[in-house]
Amino acid sequence: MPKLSIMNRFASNPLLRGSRFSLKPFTYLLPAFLVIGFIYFYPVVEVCRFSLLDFLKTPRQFVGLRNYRLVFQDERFFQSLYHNILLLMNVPVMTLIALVLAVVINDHVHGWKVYRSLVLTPYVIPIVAIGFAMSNFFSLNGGFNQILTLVGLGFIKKQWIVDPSWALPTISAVIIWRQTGFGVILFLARLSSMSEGIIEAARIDGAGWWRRFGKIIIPELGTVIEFFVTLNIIVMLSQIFAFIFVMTNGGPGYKTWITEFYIYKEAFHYNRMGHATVAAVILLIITIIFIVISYRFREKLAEEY
Amino acid sequence: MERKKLLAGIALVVGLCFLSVPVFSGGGQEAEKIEIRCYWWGDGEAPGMAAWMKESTELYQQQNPNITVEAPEIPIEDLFTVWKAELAAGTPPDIQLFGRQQGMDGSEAGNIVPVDEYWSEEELAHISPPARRELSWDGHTWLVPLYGGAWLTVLNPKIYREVGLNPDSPPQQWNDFVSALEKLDTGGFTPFSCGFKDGYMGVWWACLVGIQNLDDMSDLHEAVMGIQHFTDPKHSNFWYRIEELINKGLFNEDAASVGFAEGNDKYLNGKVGMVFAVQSMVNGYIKELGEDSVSVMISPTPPNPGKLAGRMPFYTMPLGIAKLSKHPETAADFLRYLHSEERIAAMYKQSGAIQASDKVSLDIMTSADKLMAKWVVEVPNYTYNEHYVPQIESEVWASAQLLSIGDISAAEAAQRYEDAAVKWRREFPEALERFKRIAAEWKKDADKYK
Repeated sequence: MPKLSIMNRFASNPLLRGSRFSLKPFTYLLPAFLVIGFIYFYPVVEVCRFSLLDFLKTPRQFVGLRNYRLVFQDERFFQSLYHNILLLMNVPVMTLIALVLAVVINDHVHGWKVYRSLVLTPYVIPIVAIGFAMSNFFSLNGGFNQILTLVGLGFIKKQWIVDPSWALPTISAVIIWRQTGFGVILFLARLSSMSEGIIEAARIDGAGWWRRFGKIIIPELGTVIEFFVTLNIIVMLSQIFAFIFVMTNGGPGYKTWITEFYIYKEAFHYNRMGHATVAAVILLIITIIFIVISYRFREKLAEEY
Repeated sequence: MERKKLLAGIALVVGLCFLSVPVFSGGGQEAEKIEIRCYWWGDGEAPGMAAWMKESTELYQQQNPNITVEAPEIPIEDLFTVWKAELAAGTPPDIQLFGRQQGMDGSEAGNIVPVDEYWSEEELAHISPPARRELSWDGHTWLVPLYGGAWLTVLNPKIYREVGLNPDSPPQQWNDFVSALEKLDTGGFTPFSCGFKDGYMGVWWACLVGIQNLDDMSDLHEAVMGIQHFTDPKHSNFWYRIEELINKGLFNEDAASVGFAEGNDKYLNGKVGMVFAVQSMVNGYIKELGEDSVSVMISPTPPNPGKLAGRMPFYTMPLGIAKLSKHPETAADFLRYLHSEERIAAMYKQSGAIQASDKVSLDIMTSADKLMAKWVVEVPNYTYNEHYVPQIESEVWASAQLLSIGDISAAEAAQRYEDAAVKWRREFPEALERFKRIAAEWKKDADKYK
C-alpha cells in the first residue's frame, strides 16, 4: 500500500473532507482535551520549568542549564540509566515466554484453565506485596535457597538480593514473572479470535508446531506483540520504582539504582528538586524516542501485512 | 407632652442598652481567638506519643480557652514534602518537626525563626547541652526537642550468665567486647544481631562506635570540608571494626540479607546476645521478654579512642517555629508547655520517651531507662549523622551493604566515604560555604554549652 503523504492523510480524513472544514466535532472534544491537557501536559510543563530552577533558594531562582550540566556530570545518573537499559532486555524474554505460554494454553492442553489462572495471578497482586514476599524468598534462608538445597543444588546458594552481581538479575526475574501474565492474556485474546482454519490447513500441509508458530501465529499476533513490547519498554524505563524500593532500596551499594530511584533520591532525600526534574525530563525524552521507534515499526508491520 | 414622654422613654432604653454591654460582656474586650498547627510524625518512633500529644493539646487549650491547637500526625515520608508544599502556598504550620539539616535549610532560606527569640536563656538552659548545641547555629537556638532518644547497646543478661559472662560488668572496651561475642558464639547463641541490607546499620556503627574515635564533632566537620579525611584512622576505624566482626563470624549469618528492623527484631527470639537499639526499642524488648532479659550499656569503645569515647549518643527530634506563623509567641508558649516538668513526666509514662532536659524525673523510670536518663545528664554525646550531609550518608549506607556481603574491604569502604565527600564538595559549593560557616561557629562555641 503506498504511503500517504501528510497532506493526503489530512484530506482523506472524514472529519475534514468536503468543501467546509467543520469545527463542530472538536468543540465536543474540547472539554475532554482540557481535562486531559491539565492532568497530563501541565505537570510535564511544570517539570520542565522546575528543571531550570534552583530549589534551595527562596524564592526559587532561574539557573538556566546549570542543573542539566550537573546531572550530566553525575556518574550516578548514568549508572541508573544503564540499569534501565539492562532491564530492557527483559522485554524480549517476557514476550517470548508469554507467546509460548499463550499458544500452549490456547491449544487447550489438559488443565489449561488452571494454567491460565496461575499465569495471570502474579499480575494482579500488588507490586509492594510481591516485593516483600520476594525479598524474603531470595534471602539467605529464604525459600529459593531451600528449594535449591532440596533438589541437590545447595552449592549455588547465594544471598541473591544483596549480592552485587545478582541483585539486578534477581529483580529482573521477579519482573518477568509478574509481567508475563498480562502478555499471556493479551495474546490469548487475539489467538481466540484467529481463524482456526489457517492453522488446521498448515497442520494438514505438514507444518510442525514451531513452523506454525513462526510463520502463522507470530505474524497474526504482530500488532498485539508490538503493543505488548511498547508497553513493557515504558514499564522498564519508568514503572519499576516499586520493585526496587521494596526489594533492595537501591542496594547493594548503588547496584539497583534506576532512573526513577535516582529521581526519588534527588528530590526527597538530597532535596535537589532541580536535579530530579532534569532526570525526569531526560527519562521522558528517552521514553518518547522509544515510542516513536515503536510506532514506526508498527507502521512498517502494517504495510507488510 | 405625650410625645416628649415617649422620646424620653426611648432615650432611656437606648442608654440602658449601651450601659449594659460592659456589664454582660464581663467588663472587658473578648480575647483574640488564636489557632496554631503543629505538624509532627506521631507514634512513628515512640508508641504512645500520639496519646501524649492529644492530652497535651487538650490540657493547653483548657488553660488557654482562646487558643486552639491542632497537631495532625503526618507520615514521616510526607513530613517535609507537606512542609515545603504548605510553605510554597504561604500557609505553613506554626510548628514543624525538623531534623537538624532540615532546620538549617529552613533557617538559611528564612523560613523559620529561632526559638531563643521567645524563650529565655534560663528556659533554654534546661535542655541537655549537647542537644542544645546541635540545635544552635548562626548565634541562635533555632529548635527545641520534642523528645529525645538514647542510642546504645542492649545485652541479654540471661544469656550472658549462661555463657559465664557478668551482665553487671558489661564489656566496655573493644577487646573485651569481642571476647564476649566469641563466648556467646561458642555458647550457641547469635553473638550480635543486625541487618545491613538497607544500609542503615552502617550509620548506626558510625554513630555508636565511630563517634568514639573523635575528640569533637569538629573532627567530622573537618573531614566533610576536606581538612581531615575519611580515610584517616579516626574516621575509618569503625569500618575495620565491622569487618573484624564479619571475618570472625560474630554477626547473625544473614546479616547482609536482612534489613535493619528485621536484624534487630531477632533479639526478640531470646537467642541473641547483643544488639544496637534506641530507647523505644529497649522498651519493646522489655515488654516482650521481661526486664531480666534486657540490660543496656554505652556502646563499646573502639581502639584509639578520642575525647568523645564512653559517652551515650542522645538524639533529639526537634520542633521549630515557622517565620510565616501568625502567632509565633503562642507557638513558642505551646513548646514551653510541652517542656514543663508535668508534661515531661507524662511523656515518659505514656510513651517511654525521655526528654533531652534536666527536668526528667528518674523516680518513675524502669532501671534501664534510669541508666539512660542518668547518661543523658552525665555523659551525653552528639548525634554523629546530624553533622554531615545526606549525600555522604548515602555512601555510608551503600558501603555498609557492600562490606557486609564481602564485596569491598574496610579500606575500600573508607575510600568510598572519602570520595563521597570530595564529590559533594565539588557539586555543592554554596552548601559547602554554609557548612564551613556553621562548623566554624561550632568550634568557637565549644565552651558555650556546658
